[in-house]
Amino acid sequence: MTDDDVTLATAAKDAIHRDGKVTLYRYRPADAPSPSGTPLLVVYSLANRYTMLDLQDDRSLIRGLLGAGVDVYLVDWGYPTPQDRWLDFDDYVNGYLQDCVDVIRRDTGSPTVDILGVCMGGLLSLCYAALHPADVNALVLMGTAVDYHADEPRLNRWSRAVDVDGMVDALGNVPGELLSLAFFLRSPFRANLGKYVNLPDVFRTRDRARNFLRMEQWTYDSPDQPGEAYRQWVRDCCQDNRLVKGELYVGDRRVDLAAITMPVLNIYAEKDDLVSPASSLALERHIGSDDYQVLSYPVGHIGLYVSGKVQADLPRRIAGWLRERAL
Amino acid sequence: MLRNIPALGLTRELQVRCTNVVDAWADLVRVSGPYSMLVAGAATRSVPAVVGRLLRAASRRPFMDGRTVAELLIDGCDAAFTSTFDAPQYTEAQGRLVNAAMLYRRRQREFVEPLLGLMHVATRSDAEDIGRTVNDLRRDVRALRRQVEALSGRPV
Repeated sequence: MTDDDVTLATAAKDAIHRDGKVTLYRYRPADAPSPSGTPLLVVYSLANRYTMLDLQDDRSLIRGLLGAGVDVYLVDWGYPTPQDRWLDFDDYVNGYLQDCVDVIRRDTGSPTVDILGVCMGGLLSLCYAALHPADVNALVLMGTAVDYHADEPRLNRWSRAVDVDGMVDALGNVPGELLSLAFFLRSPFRANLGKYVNLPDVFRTRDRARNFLRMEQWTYDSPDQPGEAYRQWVRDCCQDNRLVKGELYVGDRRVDLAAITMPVLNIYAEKDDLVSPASSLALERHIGSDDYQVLSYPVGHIGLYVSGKVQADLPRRIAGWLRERAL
Repeated sequence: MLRNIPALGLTRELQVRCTNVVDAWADLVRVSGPYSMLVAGAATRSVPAVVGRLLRAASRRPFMDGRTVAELLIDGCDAAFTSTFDAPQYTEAQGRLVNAAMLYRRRQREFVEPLLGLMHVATRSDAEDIGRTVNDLRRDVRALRRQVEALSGRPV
């Protein structure tokens, strides 16, 4: 086995739009039912890579959605370089996301899109849906923090003592490795050593070894964070909790969650120590939608995307929920 | 104290920047002490945490394989470290350390960049200025493109 055998995100897709380092992909339909309903735009986090959503054939949210007949598009944020240090939420939400939605609408003829926001991508999706509600037919969120001070996780507490302005001024883009280090410190020994305890078993079969190495590859594939977007995220959301206070500005527009009147499906992990369930569940108190549903699984933050049991159920549930609300 | 006496003439600004670097470095060293103490404390507490787990496990099953021992080791160390990480003192000490490290980097830059400028070497600030201009232009182009699309009714 060589490193070339360890491949991620292999579901067939075509790049249909590029802008700088950002790429919009359209996934090719699965063999099963042909895509129907409103097209779905998947918005992944700026931290780590979207490859998590298509880790391997039998643990892939993307393949599951395609198999359930969903027309899937995904925005890949790429790897920001120092040139992208000035990108802020306005660029991501009103620039890139708006462009992607326009391209999808032209591509499909659909007047609106469904959006699936993952983790921090859920924050961008919430901002987009609040600022452009007429573009969004239905909104699905996965592991998305809303009230950043509810049952505050360790990383959030840590961020409150950091002078984020000073950090971004010093570093420009915030190195992905720094974020990874903070993630690992949630449980330093378990995260860094625990997974290697079972290595003898893992390398007993080629398949298990490949699966393990795929996860390793994803774990350490951490793009740098564009400085201004990172500054805004930490200062406005993690420290000042402006999203739920109705004080978050994207560009010169205030994000009013009450403007989110489309159907919302809020999916969270019950054992999430990165985004507390209380933080996700706070959404219901702030949005204007009267079609709001919650779905949860007894897993941690990452388990939501890579657990075989979750992936056997979740794509079908999302597809069914979307189908009932299709145009 | 002597190094804080203001200089006169051409070297004045350089001396201030140099002093700032030294001050920032001294502050970084100062705040790394309490942080290291907390981490060392966690390491120390992890010993009884691991030993306690090993003893409890041994009372139930005297012979353990390496994997079980490793699991108990990881579990005990994590318990000691995460309880430290959850303490407000840790948050404060880590924040001070990060902030001091970032200030040190900014002071280094303020000291080095004028010297690089004298040698016509492009600096990080120069690159950031260009990046900012590129970003502003990107926004302008996007806004113009949308206007053209709206007027023509066709994608550009």
